[in-house]
Amino acid sequence: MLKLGQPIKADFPIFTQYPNLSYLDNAATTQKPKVVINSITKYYQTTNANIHRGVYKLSDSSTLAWYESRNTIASFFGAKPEELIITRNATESINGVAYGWGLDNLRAGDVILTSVMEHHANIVPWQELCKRTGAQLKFIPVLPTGQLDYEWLMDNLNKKVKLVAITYVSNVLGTVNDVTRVIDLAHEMGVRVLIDAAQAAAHLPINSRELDADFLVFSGHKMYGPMGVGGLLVKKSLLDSDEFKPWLFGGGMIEAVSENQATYQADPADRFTAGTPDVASAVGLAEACKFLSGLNISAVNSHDRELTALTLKKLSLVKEIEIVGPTDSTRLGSVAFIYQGVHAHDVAQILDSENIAARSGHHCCMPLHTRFGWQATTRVSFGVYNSPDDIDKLLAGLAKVKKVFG
Amino acid sequence: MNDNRDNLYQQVILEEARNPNNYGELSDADVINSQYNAACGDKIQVSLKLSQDKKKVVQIKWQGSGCAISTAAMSQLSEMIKNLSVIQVLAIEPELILAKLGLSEISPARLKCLSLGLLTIKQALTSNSKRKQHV
Repeated sequence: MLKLGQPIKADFPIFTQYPNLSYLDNAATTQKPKVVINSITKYYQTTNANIHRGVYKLSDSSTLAWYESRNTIASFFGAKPEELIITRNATESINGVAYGWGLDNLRAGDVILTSVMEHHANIVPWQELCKRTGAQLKFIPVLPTGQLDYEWLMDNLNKKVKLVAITYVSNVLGTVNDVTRVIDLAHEMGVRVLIDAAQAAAHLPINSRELDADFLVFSGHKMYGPMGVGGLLVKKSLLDSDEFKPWLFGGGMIEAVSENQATYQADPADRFTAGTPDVASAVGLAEACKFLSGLNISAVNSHDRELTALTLKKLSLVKEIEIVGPTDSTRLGSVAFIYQGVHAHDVAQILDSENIAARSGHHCCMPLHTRFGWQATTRVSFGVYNSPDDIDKLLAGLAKVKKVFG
Repeated sequence: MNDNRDNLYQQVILEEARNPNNYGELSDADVINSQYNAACGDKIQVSLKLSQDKKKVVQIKWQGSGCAISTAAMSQLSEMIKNLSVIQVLAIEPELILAKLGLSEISPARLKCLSLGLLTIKQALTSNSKRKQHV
């Protein structure tokens, strides 16, 4: 698409404020387009009222905005609206699966499989769940190539395994996991699968129906939407069963309440929404979905791949730099590296002095860093407004690192 | 953004980071303590020799791996605290190290780097349980 890269910066107010900013921390959060920001303001100026509060017009408008937003977000992921549970973010979605599914379905001796490349959000909730149920958490190894060890997975998928929880795209390695293969393998054994799509949603087309994951989670703020809203997509058959239940209780999700008990809404859209939801953020996220669809997510994917390839090519020419993870065309979204002899924080600080926002540290992936013995890495990650100019600036910034640290 | 932020790496810091003072481990330490900054993977271990009445720091060595800021700060601090009383050491604030490094300000994220060594030393001097123990 013609608009991607430099021209689309005009749609993002942050770049009016900071025209020289090279924002390369999109895996942490993306900047927000004007349409998203405006939709939130407009909601509060014209539509704000609590949803489901009945007869007055404003509440009807707000209720309509909530359901329409849900429809847009679900359809962006190729899901039915009733399969979408709005949460605060991917982390909350994963916790929701741990509480709403895990507590009642796991027993001592059961196994959850996750992988070494996971974000802490896809590790810590399972550790806690295991403490409470006596289940065991095992890790699919990551090969030196940055790929999941699928052979290990095949050898270890057995009757004890109840869930495989893996990321679609690694936020450090940029590895795009073969989630279709993982889901097929797991389902053959009757094992549930959770896909963490936080790093995938803004970078590749996702059709949850075709993927057939039991659970798929995402964060709105990593896909040009506001912070504080995300989603959990749950397969319809699971929602209709008793296997997965609400984990938050209160107003909105109930049908009737007496002093001693309550019945819950039949419609999962309501049954899993306890309390007043963040309607404005849902409106903003729906607008972000429209924004991404308007750009054509396949074109966004090509744009990301071009920037990733260009970065890999240019960084490979800097002799002090060791790229971590795949260095071929399979890599997507982010490139992390080690600058020999200079700590990642110092690298990122110098890049900041050149108006380049890059991330340094373990990127919420301590087990991965420990596995490969990396103290810390520097990471650049791309969005629709990045262009080859940003990569040139990055290289100039890295030249400054060499100048300062010798 | 202040000048410090964009010119953090002044000569004094780079020099200290390249050739840090008091690097190593004391063989006759009274207290040994380690700290780990999970956010950046930095590790610092300090070994302290105290006066006989345990009221004064006589000798210090430290080792570890970290960024230029944490290394330079620890290097400065290790010089500063020699022959200070325990009470004086416990009263040291990060701002003092900042000044010694020729800086007036530092971002909250980097303040953690700067303070790691100070934290490790203060902990060593306040926690009896850690005396003569590797943590």
